[in-house]
Amino acid sequence: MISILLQEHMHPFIIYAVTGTFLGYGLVFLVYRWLQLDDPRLKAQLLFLPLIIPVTTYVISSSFHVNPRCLLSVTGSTGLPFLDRLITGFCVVSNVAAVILTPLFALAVSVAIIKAVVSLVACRRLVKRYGLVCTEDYPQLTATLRQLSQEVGVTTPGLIMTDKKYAQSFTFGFWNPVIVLSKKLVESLDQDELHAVLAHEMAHIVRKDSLFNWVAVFLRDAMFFAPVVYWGFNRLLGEKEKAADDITVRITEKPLAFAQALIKVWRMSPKSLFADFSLDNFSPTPGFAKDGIIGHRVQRVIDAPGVQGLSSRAAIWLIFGMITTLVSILLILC
Amino acid sequence: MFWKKVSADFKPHKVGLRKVLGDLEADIMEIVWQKDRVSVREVYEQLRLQKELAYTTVMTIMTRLAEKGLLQKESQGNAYIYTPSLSRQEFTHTIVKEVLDGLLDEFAEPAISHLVDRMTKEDESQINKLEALIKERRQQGGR
Repeated sequence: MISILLQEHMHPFIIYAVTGTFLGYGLVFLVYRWLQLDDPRLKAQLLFLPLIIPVTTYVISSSFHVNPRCLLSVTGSTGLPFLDRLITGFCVVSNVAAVILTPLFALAVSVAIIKAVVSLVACRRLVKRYGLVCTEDYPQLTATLRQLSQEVGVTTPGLIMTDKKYAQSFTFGFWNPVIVLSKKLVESLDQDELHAVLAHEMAHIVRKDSLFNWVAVFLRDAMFFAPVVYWGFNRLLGEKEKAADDITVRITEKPLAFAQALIKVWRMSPKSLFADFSLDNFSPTPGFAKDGIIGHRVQRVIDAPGVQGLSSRAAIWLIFGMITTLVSILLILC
Repeated sequence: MFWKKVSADFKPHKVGLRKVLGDLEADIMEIVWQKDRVSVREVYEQLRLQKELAYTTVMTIMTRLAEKGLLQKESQGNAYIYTPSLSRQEFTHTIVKEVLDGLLDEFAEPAISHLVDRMTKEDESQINKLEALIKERRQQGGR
């Protein structure tokens, strides 16, 4: 039983996770350099692939018992001695890693599942504890929210005002999104800055970032042993924020107010990684190198760069190419 | 290996190239990087515009820089022509690497800790500058 778990499940999963994330981020990095990409929307999409592809490839290959390497030849050889040696080396290393990581993996996946569920429960508790803001309590705020919803073409989200002593500003909910702000933050912002903060959260709603963050955090936690996951995850968060920043500036046309609001939120943010741990899946915190991000974002908003993206068709081909390449490599490897 | 010799004279409180070179050495290196190929006479003529010094002093210093490996010299008639062994950028890059490696070899923990502190402070000061810029532009009517 344990042998089957190690050989048939942990062994390929470790290979898929470590190789898939490493190669995936390597490919993303090369594409960045090659195409000189500066469109954060496309960059975020590309950075999500190395997180999702290893896990989905593993699920599909283990569910359907796909093993193209064996299909290539009866002996399971690729015909290239170097590649065969590489694959054998990977197998030996991952067998050892499987034995070591299995108990840790069981623990990590349990924690990842618990965290994902706890974040959903924590959000429900937020609604229950604070309730949704009424128009009578914050007429201007709710009016701004309605106006922004009409501008971006989504249903007006709910709004929760917490009594936290630090800045809280995030969105949760996949189908009925809710924006969470702390009173302390709202009181510290002027009208233009508050407008920009609400527009930024609306941008996250338009982009469905809550859902993608929730999934990305779960995948990061499940592949805790793959070192490049943390780097890629931080970059992903950064690009998502930049993509939302671009939408915010486009909607509000107030880059200076938004830049000031970003600085205020940063100054009032909790410095501990565990301040909002129960909400980590919706409002994730980068593991490290957190402090460099905000300066870069503020500078970018002030400079108001004209983002030159690829055409939709080129972007789709690029993403399709990356998916095909990564899945093929993973299936050939193990 | 000659970099060991150069960074061995590291003077943290001096400015620019003078952190690792003597005052005259730094002045001469700037001229050599600027002109790329120079004779002692040319360097001497240029330096003499700024300060009083003897031709032999310049020649001695340039010979010393060549011994340190910073300059290469080739004979041309009766004189020597000097060229830099590395570009200015390569030189500073190598010095920074040498000094940091030296610190990290002996004092890894405090050195890294200080670097991290310094980077965080840099970020704070960068944000303060950005905030001042934003305030100024908003006061001028920017949105």
